[in-house]
Amino acid sequence: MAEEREFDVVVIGSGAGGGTAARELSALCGQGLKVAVLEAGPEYRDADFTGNELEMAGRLYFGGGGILTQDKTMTLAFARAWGGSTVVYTGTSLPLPLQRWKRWGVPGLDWEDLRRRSAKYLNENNCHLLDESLLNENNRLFRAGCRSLGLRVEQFPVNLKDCRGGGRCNLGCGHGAKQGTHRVQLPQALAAGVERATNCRVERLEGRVIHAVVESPKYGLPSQWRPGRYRIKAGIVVLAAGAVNTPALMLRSGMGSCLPMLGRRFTCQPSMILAALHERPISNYWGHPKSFYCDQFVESDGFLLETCMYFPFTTAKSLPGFGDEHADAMSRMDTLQMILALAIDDARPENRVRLDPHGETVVDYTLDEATLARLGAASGVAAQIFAAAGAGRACWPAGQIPRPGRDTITAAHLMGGCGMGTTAADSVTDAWGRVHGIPWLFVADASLFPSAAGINPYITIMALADRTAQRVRELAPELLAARGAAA
Amino acid sequence: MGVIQGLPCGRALLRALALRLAPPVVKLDPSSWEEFYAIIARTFSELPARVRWQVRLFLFVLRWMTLPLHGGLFDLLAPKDQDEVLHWLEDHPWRLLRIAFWGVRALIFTGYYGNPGLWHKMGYAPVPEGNRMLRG
Ligand SMILES: Cc1cc2nc3c(=O)[nH]c(=O)nc-3n(C[C@H](O)[C@H](O)[C@H](O)COP(=O)(O)OP(=O)(O)OC[C@H]3O[C@@H](n4cnc5c(N)ncnc54)[C@H](O)[C@@H]3O)c2cc1C
Repeated sequence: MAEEREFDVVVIGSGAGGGTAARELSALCGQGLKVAVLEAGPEYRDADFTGNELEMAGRLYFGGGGILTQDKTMTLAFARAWGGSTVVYTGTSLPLPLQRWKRWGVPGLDWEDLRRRSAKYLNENNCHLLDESLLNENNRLFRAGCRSLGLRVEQFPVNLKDCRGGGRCNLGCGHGAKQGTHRVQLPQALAAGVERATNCRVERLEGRVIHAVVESPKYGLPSQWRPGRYRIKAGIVVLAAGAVNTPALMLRSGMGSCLPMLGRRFTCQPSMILAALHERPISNYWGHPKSFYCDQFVESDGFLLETCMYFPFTTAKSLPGFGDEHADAMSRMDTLQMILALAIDDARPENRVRLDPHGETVVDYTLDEATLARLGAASGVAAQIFAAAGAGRACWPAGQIPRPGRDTITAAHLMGGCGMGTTAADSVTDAWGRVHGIPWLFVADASLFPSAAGINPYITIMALADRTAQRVRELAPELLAARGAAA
Repeated sequence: MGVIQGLPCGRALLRALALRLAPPVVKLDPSSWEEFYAIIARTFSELPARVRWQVRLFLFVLRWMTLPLHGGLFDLLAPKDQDEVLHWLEDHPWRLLRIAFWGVRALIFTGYYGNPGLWHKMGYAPVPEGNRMLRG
């Protein structure tokens, strides 16, 4: 027998989108409404983040960070935790570029409105430029290389407080320095009266009834709810389970037939980790790993370059080949300069989230020639930056186009699948995240993106979730009254 | 019983693969080899059932496919011949074979590069107070 619960508003997922929506909806608690967040992952204490790469990847990421696309040529990284992927993100904080907003062309998504909301989250999350003394050499070499080539290079604002430079942001911050939703928005939501259930995986929606299971994994804090099955009645549902799981949940709830674009136009800015060896150790694993980016080629050539520094297994997997040459690079990790090359991929209907005949989530994604060529071109520029920065051997041949299945291509900027637009023929939601044809259902996460962000996306996700929450607040009286009447 | 359940060849094949893919394993002491196998076994056990089956199948094929061409099981071949086979698979025209090789390569890498106890050998020594190190 499933336990029963009832709320006026339920947010599913607590990441960049869900955490923001929960906080913005917590104002409704003051009006006597019951708001809850259901999160599939556990809550962690700072001390749980051990820095052990495999252990943390296994706990924090879906599929250990290695969810494969259907053709198995790319891995997708997204987290499950109280705070979602903001627990593992690097905290680089940029608003959507104007050019991308123009490309999106969503009627009703006003530029000024988006800019204002992005600024709100840049401010609230303590986004700032790190002091020069905290930039490690891996980062400074990138800047120096770009500058000597005459390339435009910018410093990332990062959302840190009291960062001690442990450098393993993507395995969870042991100092609580990164200002993810678990540190900023969610505590505020709870303080305002929002209820939560962690370790609570939503299986499907049956109308406004949510079917969920609370589990008790071996790690993290236990759920606030007893393990078992739940039937949760909701007046309004806000989906924020991320670009893979929100469309999957909707498909599992039988919404695919009236929403032909559901799951489609999934984009993820496929990336490659590129590295080159210096003759001497450079400081690379101390300090914040990601300080600079070069977006000069985003509009012209479809790629973006960022600094990065990864852990041994991830690095080993990403460097090409094997044997002595590979081992030589891996034995000198302290001499490695690293650059992340990201292709700005096109939104194509055939790249999509769907369910297989067993109801399991599948991501169909083809690394098409254009995307691969962008990665190849990015590696050419990266090689020039490495050389200009004084590196010796680059581990990836300059300009070589990656070969799917042979070369490691990963993605952490997952977007789309419930794109905004005007009608069900071209999109899944309107410009305020309301699902076409289902008045009580809203989306507040990265799945709203109609195409790639062209930059690191979380600030834009928060801005969009903020909009969704506003619309829910405005419509709540009407929608909840309608529920009462229907009952 | 093999390290990987249901895989009859077990350690011999994994060791042979490790020596070619991640040559520094040659310097591992017996207890580090035990850890190597343990990490691989743990990683393998956490894979979805279907992927485990595919890995087992691929390793089985890899071990035996060399018999007609090179006259011996993979783990008994000379290192040069092993490298030749691995390079052939790595860049094979069939995407499925490339992917299978990529997966096994990653699995072997977990056993060595995924062991924090060996990170110092790779010149990787992060500390919680990295900023203090930066500021000297
Ligand atoms: C390693 C890494 C580094 C990154 N670095 C940056 C960066 O520096 N800057 C930047 O802008 N972006 C970065 N990103 C991307 C950014 O973190 C994501 O784009 C963003 O967090 C996505 O927000 P979201 O709300 O869509 O999903 P998420 O933040 O992933 O949250 C979704 C949540 O929903 C939960 N969930 C899923 N399914 C269910 C279900 N059925 N029931 C209940 N709960 C469910 C999940 O457990 C998860 O907690 C990074 C991502 C990764 C993986």
